[in-house]
Amino acid sequence: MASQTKMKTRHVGSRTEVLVLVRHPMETGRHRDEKTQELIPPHYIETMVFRLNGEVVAEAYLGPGVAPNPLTTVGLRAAHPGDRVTVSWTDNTGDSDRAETTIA
Amino acid sequence: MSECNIGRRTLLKGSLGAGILALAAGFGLVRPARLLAAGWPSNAFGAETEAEAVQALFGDAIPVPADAVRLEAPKQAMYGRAVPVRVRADMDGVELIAILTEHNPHPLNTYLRVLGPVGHYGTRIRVERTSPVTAYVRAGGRLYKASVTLKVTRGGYGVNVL
Repeated sequence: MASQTKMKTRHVGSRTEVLVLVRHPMETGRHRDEKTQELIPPHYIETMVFRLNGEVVAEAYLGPGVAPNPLTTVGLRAAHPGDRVTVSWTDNTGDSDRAETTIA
Repeated sequence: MSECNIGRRTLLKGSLGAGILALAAGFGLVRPARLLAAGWPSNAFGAETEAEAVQALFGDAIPVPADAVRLEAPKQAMYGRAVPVRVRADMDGVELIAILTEHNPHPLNTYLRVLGPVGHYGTRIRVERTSPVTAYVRAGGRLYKASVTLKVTRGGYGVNVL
């Protein structure tokens, strides 16, 4: 599942924007299976932790109100080329994944 | 590894109590990121009105509209299933950035707890129907907000649209 989480960075003015794309259904628990008409259980990312050179810089809290396969961005004010950025997420079923990149 | 994962999932599904999680952490079954998940605020995310959600996140603070908070969102969306929004907070001491959609069944979409030099936060949100979308930013102990009205042709929260 290495490709479930993708991350890249880009420079926007004086900021470095971290973009994280996670392949995830983000089920709200309100949708029904079209064939069985059973409610599909909720399945969504709860937290996403961003680290810059190992230090936590932000924690995102997500829920059913976030779209499937969310593209989440965080703008860093004081990041430099060569800095290491990591993201790790956990969902409500206990699944988790992480990704890491170096700022170009 | 996979065996360990199954064990953790079973544990989490079977027991939502924080005490159990703390116990699991004690046995080294839960990594730090998982402990944060234990703090996922179900009261704020489960709130059915925007006022309730804001109260859960920010207490009694009164939000004031501020130009330093810029909410970038489309004015209208054909489908509310995935609407890109971004909040820029051009002030010092940003602590929390939250995005809420008033007319969603649960207005709180997401929020970011800021612990370092972070200036903006964005993601793609579900919007059930035409609604004000509001960004709340707590900075230096004060609460600011900025709002746009987003017109949605086809909702994206409770309906079974793929």
